[in-house]
Amino acid sequence: MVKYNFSLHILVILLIFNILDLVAQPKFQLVDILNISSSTNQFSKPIFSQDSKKILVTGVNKRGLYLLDFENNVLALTEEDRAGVDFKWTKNGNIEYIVKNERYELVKKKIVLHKELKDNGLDTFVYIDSKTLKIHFTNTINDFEIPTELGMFYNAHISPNKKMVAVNSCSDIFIIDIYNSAKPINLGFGIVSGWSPDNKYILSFEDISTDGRNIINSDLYLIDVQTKMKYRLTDTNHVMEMWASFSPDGKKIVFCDDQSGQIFISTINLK
Amino acid sequence: MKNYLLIFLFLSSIFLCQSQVVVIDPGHGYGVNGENKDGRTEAEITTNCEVGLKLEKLLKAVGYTTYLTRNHSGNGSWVSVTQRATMADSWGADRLLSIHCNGGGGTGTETFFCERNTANRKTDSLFAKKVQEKMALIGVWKSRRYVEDFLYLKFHLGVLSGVATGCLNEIGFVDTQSDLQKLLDDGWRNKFAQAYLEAIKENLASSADIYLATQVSDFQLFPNPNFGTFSISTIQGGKCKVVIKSLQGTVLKTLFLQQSIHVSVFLDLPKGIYIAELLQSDKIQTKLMVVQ
Repeated sequence: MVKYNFSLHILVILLIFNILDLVAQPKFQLVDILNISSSTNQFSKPIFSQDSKKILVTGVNKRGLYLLDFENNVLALTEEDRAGVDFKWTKNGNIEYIVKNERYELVKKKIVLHKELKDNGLDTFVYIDSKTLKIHFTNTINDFEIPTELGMFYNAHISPNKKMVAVNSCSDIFIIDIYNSAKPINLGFGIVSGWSPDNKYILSFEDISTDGRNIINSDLYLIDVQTKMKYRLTDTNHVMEMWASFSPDGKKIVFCDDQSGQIFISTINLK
Repeated sequence: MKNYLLIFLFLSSIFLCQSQVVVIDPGHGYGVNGENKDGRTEAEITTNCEVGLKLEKLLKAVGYTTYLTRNHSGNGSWVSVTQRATMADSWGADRLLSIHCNGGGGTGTETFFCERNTANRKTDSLFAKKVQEKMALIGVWKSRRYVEDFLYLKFHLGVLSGVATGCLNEIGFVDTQSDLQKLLDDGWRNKFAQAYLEAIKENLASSADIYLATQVSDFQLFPNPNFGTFSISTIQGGKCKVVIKSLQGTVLKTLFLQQSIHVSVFLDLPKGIYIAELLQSDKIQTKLMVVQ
C-alpha cells in the first residue's frame, strides 16, 4: 500500500492550480507593427480617430495638435503651446483639449472656448485642477472631485464607460471608481496612457534611466484592472515605446517612439 | 484715466502671479524598498530635496502656485524621469526647475536647457541663463556654463521634454570636498533656494512684463476696448504675424499679415482681456486688448 504523502498532495494541487492559472491568463502579442509617420516630423501621444482612418498627435514637446493619415500627410490643427498635454476626440467628432482648467474645442480648425467646464453637449471628461490638484469628473449632471488627501495625482484618463479613472500618483498607477471611490486601487509602477474599449485593461509604459537624467529605454505594458495582472507588450532596445492607445474596436494600438518621434500602429493579438 | 490703468496693471500682475505654476523637481530619490535606482549619492539625493523644499516655501510666500515632484528623500520618493515631466505637464507648470548635483570631478555650477523642436523660442535658454547667473552670484559658485543639453551631453534630458519652460541646474559637485561642504550646509542651501527664487521671479516677471507691456511699440491696435472687431497697423509695414492669446497664454487666433501696414480683423471672442502679440523680424511686441 502506498503511504499517503501530504506534502506531495499539496504540491500536486498547487501544480494543478498553477497550470489552470496559466491557461486562464490571456497572453498578448503585437503583430504587424507599421511606422506611419515620415522621418522629418516628430510626434507624441497618438490617438485613433473614431473611424480609425486618422491619428491625432501632438509634438514631442506636447506643443500643437496634428492629424496624420496613413499616407504621410500631416495636417496642423493648432500650434497652441499646451494643446498636447490633455486632448481627445469628442463624441461629435471634434477635438477638445484642456489648458489650465479651461476647456477648448476645435471645430473645423476654429478654437471655441467653453467657459463652463460642465458638459455643453460635449463628452464627460476628467481633468486635474492645476490650482488644487483635485481630480474633477464632469458631466451634465455631476461634478465629482477626488481630494488631494488621496494623492498628488497627475495624468488622468477616464474609462470609456465613464465609471473609472486611471491616474498616476508618485511612481504608481491607480484606478479610482468614480461612483464608489473608497480607496484608489494601486496597479504598481508605470505611466498610464489609455483604456481598452471594453474597460478591462489599461495601456501603460515604463521608462528606464540608469542615471535619472537620460532615458535609455521604454516599453509598453497592458494591465488587467481587475486582476492587476501586467503583460509586457514590447521588449526592444532600439525603440522607446511610449503613450500607447487602443483603436475604437480594440484590435489595434498606436504608440510613439519617444526618441525618434515616429508613430507606429500594431495589431494586438491574443497568443 | 492713468490711475485706472495703473490699478488695472497692478491687479493684472497679482492675477498673473497667482495663476503661474512653478514645479520644482528635486532629482532622484529612493525606491519603495530603499533601492538607489539612479545610483546617486546620499548627499545629492538629500541636497536636491532640501533645497527644493526651501524653494517651495519661498515661492509660496511670494504667491506662486508651487508643486514638488517629490517632497522627501525616504523610501518611495523616487519617480521616473518621464513621470517628472508628465507631472509638470499635468499640473500646468509655467516653469520647471530640476535640481541636481554634479559628479565626476570639478567645481562650480552649471545649467542645462532643452531646445528639442523649440530652438526658435529661446524661452528655455533665457530661463537657464537667469538660473545660472543667480546661482553664480548668490550661491557664490564658479559659473561653468549654461548650455543646450544635446550640444553638451549628447542626449536630451527627459525631464525637460514637457511643455513648461524649464531647465536643470547642477548645484555643485558632490565629489569635490569644497563643493560638498557647501552642498551639505543649511545656510548655503538657503542661499541656493534664494538664488532660484530670484531667477524664477525675474524670469516670470519678464514674461509678465511682456504681457503688461506699456512701452511704446511699433504697432497699434484700435479701438481698444472693442467688440471683437479691431484694426492693427504697423509703422514699418511688411510681413508679420499677430497672435491673439488668453491671459493664460492660450493661443486663440493667429493672423499672418502680408505687406499691408493696416488690416481690419474680426474675431468671435467672448468678453474679456486678451493679449495681442506682433511678431516681426525676430521682435515680439505685445498689447493687452479688452473685448467688451
